[in-house]
Amino acid sequence: MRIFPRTNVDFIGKRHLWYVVSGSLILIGLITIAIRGLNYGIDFVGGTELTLQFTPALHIGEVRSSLNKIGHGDAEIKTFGAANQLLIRVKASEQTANTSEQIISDLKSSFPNTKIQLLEDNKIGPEIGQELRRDAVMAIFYGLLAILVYVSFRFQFIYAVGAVLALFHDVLITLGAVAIFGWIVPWLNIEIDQTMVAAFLTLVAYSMNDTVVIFDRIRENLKIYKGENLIRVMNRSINDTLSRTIITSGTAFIVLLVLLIFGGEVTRGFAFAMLVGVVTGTYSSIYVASSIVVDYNVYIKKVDLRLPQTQSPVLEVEKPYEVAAKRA
Amino acid sequence: MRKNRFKITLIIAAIALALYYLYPTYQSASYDKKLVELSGQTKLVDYLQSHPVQQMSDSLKQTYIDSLSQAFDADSVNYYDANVKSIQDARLKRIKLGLDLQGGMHIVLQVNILKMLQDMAKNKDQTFNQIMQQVTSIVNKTGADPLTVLGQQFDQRGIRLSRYYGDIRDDNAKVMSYLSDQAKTAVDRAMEIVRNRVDQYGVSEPSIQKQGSARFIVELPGVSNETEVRELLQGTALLEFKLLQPEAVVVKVFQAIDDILAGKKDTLAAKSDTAASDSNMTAAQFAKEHPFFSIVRVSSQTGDAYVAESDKDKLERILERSDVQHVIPSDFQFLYSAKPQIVDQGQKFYAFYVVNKQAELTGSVITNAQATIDPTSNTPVVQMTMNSQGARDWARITGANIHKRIAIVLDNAVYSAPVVQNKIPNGSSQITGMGNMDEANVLAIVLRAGALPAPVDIVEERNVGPSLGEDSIRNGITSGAAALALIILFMGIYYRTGGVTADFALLLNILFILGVLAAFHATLTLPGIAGMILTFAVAVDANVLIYERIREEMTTGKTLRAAIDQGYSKAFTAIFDSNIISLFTGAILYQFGTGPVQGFALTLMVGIVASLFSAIVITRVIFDIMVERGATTINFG
Repeated sequence: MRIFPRTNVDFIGKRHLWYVVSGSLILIGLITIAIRGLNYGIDFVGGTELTLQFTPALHIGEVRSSLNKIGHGDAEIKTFGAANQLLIRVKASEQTANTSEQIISDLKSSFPNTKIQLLEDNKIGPEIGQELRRDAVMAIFYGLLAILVYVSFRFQFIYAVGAVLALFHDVLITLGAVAIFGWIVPWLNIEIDQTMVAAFLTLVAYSMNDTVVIFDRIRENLKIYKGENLIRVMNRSINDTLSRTIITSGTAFIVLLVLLIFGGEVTRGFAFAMLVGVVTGTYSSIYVASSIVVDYNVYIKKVDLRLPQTQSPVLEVEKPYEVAAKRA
Repeated sequence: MRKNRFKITLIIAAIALALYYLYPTYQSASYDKKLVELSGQTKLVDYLQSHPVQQMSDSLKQTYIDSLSQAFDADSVNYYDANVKSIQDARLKRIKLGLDLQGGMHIVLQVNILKMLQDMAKNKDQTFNQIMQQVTSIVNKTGADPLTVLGQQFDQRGIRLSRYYGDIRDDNAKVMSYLSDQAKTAVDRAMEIVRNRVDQYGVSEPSIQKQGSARFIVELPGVSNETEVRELLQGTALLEFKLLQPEAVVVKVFQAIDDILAGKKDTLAAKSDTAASDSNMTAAQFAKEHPFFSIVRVSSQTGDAYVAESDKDKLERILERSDVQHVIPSDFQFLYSAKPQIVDQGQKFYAFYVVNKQAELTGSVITNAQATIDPTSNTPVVQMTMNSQGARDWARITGANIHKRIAIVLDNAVYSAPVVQNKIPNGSSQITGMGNMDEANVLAIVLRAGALPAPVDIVEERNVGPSLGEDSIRNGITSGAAALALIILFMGIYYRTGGVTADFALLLNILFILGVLAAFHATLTLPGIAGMILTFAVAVDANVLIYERIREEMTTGKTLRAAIDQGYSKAFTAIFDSNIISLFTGAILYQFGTGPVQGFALTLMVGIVASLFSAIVITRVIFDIMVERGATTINFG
């Protein structure tokens, strides 16, 4: 079975259009972040957060007015997972050593006929939150640095630059998506916590994985077709690997979709970020990483890559056995 | 076949090894299932339904239900006792579930140096309180080192540190170095105190780890009572010196308990026959005749008693029996050594001490304790000094109890029970008999813990209720199974024979990942399961790369053997480069992440290596064997 027969799509030719698309997406994300801010989990800001299960379910308003009595009326309260589960969050500046016990005993006395069960309780001091945030930034920084070094060692430096810019692109778009979805679809409970940081590093690795496969084919084809136009070789290489790209991204997408739907609240943020990351990671390998290498040659090294009207922008290989002979 | 002999051996060895490491996990799960089946909870519910409880007060009702529950639990308890060694062994070697999956508490504690300085000061007055207030506000504002700020404040006011700390004759530099030493070792003291208490609290598989210079992490699986745990971790340590009960009295009581357990009424008659026949009894016979002495093993040479770790629960139950309580004198207190003393055939033995309930002296009189090497005997010793009040009492106590043993007890665990050699007049004592320097260091830490405060703050506290853990496991298994099924189906349809081969390799891959996790005693967390699910996608990618290449090579008219050869070798660089990068990121995540993120990074890294092995080596061997068996075509879809 073949979903993608041998294709001859001129990917690189449309790159400028896609720069605009990418740029706009990043801009929308950044504007959202600037206006709405990022939704940080308590891992990073500190505070007390408890998830309670009520049988029968209670309204958020009832719970809030009860908490008002003990001075936590301004706590963040939202449903979490099932309809009868509530997440209550108190800011670090307002928490004491036993905030969660106070809240539970307050609710128990206000609603004596409701069974209240503690599902989860997290209490993070503000100093820890700061450190975790610093560690997260360091982790992503070192991750990108390691990639830059390795790719320039295995390929050329400009390829490494293209790859790392593609990663920035993916991280920014995903960050924007997290901000937008955290705002528009609040019940998804998508926020930036430690697992989300893990998701970001993983999507960086995934996107890199995809880029490297294409670069590997470009490296190989450049050796075979010495002196050929770079754009033609790149298009050929992207088309050569297209089938693999779609299948791998497809399986990863399915796996993450399953995780998003069945994985529960804890891994939801992770699955969401990765899902966005798989799409942009696949796209950016072509339209950011490879395109930047082309534009570097066009604008900085002033290589004339314009093609005559008669030549197809995709290197065509008519007789497969000729290729085989060349490759051998 | 011959050229693949090495690879095949490797694959079989890997499978065997994985199964070997996973067996205890399986064993432990089946024991747990059996114990739940035997436990009285379901029987209790049934019984209560058919025999409704009469009108009685709540407290009485609770006692009644408790006693019923205990009676119904007998089967489970007996089964546990009969298989205790292999149950504990399996538990130790199984894949551990993270707190997010089994429920429990994760607490990060930080030593509060400010509070320590406050607590350590003597003769506190108005001036001191003012200085301390100033220091606190500066430290909170600037985050500077509390000790440095304290020194500066004293300098500014021209007050000598020795007014509040150390000996009055000490100069500032000496006091400062003493204080900074105490600050540095405070985290070790706090950890020892917490470890000791947690061990006694009876949590299974607790974990206590140092993090950085001033923090440590305590993980308590299956515990959810926050108030109780907070008291356990933050309460003040109590160090006591307690006299051991005379050996002769202890043995008599042990004998009486033994007789009760064996069902012998006439203690005098029983006593006469023991000595004669004990030596040529079999172990089973001995256990039947002397149930108590088969648990509490009294060494015939030293008279010391030892209890196997696995027997501690049983011994507790025996000592709580009312008929046994009857023969125990009221001033008896039973204590265990803090750490196992003997390890024999994989079984840990704790020393079992019988001490006076009333402490002779508490540790608050200790001014310092230091582990050193005694130059004359060249053995590790601990030097302990006391304040003047303590020294006076100590002289009286040691003088009255020469050649008797005094136990050093921290929060009800005995760290050492030295013999008093002579009267110690000035409070400066030397404790000998430590096996090595490490033991001496622990004892010195413990002695100081009784006197010097090591106040800790809880800076992070995570508590996962058991029901959420169950939900998480279910979610993890559901999503993992669904993802796996979809991938297997897709690969089979798209790549036919090749896909089925890859699916087989993928299943082995899961076995390998779990095997490696078990071998390294790693902990499986929910993000870890997510990492494993993600590995499925990565593992499949390697096969997709290879199969796409093989398809390409086949269109060029190559033979099957050549196409497979070329496919594997050409796909290799891409697979290698991309996976190396994933490994890097995994390692970085492991380095910078904490708890759950580390779990994710670990499974991701293990998964990458395992999937490369299964996707490249295993599938290749299968294809080679097919070709050697005469296959001219293999369907790659």
